[in-house]
Amino acid sequence: MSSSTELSVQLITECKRSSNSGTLYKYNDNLVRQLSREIRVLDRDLTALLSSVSHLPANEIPHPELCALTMIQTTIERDKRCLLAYHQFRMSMLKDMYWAVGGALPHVLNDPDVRGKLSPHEVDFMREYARITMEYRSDLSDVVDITMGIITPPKDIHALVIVVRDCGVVTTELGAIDFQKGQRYLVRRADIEHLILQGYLEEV
Amino acid sequence: MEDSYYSIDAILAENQKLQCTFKHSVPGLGYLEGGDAKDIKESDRVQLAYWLALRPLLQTGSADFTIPASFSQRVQNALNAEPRSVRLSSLVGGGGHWYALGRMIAQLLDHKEATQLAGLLNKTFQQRLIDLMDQAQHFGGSSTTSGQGGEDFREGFDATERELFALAQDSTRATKIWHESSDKNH
Repeated sequence: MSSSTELSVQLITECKRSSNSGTLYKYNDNLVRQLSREIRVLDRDLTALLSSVSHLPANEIPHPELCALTMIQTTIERDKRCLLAYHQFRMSMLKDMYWAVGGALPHVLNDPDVRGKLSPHEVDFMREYARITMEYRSDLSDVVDITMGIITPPKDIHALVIVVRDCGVVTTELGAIDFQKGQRYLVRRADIEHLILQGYLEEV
Repeated sequence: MEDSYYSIDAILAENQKLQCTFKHSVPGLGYLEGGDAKDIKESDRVQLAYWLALRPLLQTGSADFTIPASFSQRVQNALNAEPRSVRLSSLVGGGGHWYALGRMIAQLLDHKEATQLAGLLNKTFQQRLIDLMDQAQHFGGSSTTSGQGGEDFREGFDATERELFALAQDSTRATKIWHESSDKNH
């Protein structure tokens, strides 16, 4: 039980390292489980202590017991906060990865390196997040594509691109184009913007 | 640094320890002292993290705390003499959240002491900020502080200052890129 505070610090320190290095760490299932177990143990202590003073009216509970109750309760809340912050931190990191590739979910999930670091719940979250994003996107599709990069406004309808990785046949307004590595094309920007974001094409 | 519920930095900052003296015994929490004793006894001195000390200290008045050495009179004198020559990072452990710890302690003090401490934090921050920004924009350049090119000063940054320094560097870099690009005329 004495290690409960240490466990929560470990989890948070991991977030700090992850954010400093800008890399996603493997989901720490072991630590999350241990911390959840600690909360249960603390809750058992709290309930036991509470029942030992339950015959007294609330304002007559002796100071020592009251203090112990407050401290256990505070520790439980702290553990909970650390667990939530850990998951919140990872979620925001995953969302950033999703937006960085223009909302192409398979691009994130099919990367074996990334996939191995996610918990099953995080994969579910990503799918659901992508689903509602796409739903919202289709509502606005006649006005703006919300998954497009907006850092630099486009100055030209067309873009000259070079293929960095094979990405097969893509249907564009000019017809189907078979993008093969090393070739150059002048294509409509709107057709291939997502391929640039995902790293298949590069602007020349 | 933000104080939100989910903030990683806020959680880490609240983990800093305070020396607490209990005014009465506390049953079943002896493990906090690190020994085998079952209970905390009256007038026991225990190192507690701020988040754990806050409620027993303020709400039930069950314990007193000692102002940590990182805010001792000696440190205050040094800061009043020359804020830039004090290594804040070596005053506090771990992530070096000196300002955050100061703010938390100020909330535990009575009005007069709290105002004094807040004033010290404020003044220290303001006086260090000018050199911090200067060094972030001219990295490795000369500095008004002593030491090799301000290196000592930089190593003494508190966590908040490190964050600001990195932001200022990024912004300088971004401005330079914009300045050298041809896009600016469009």
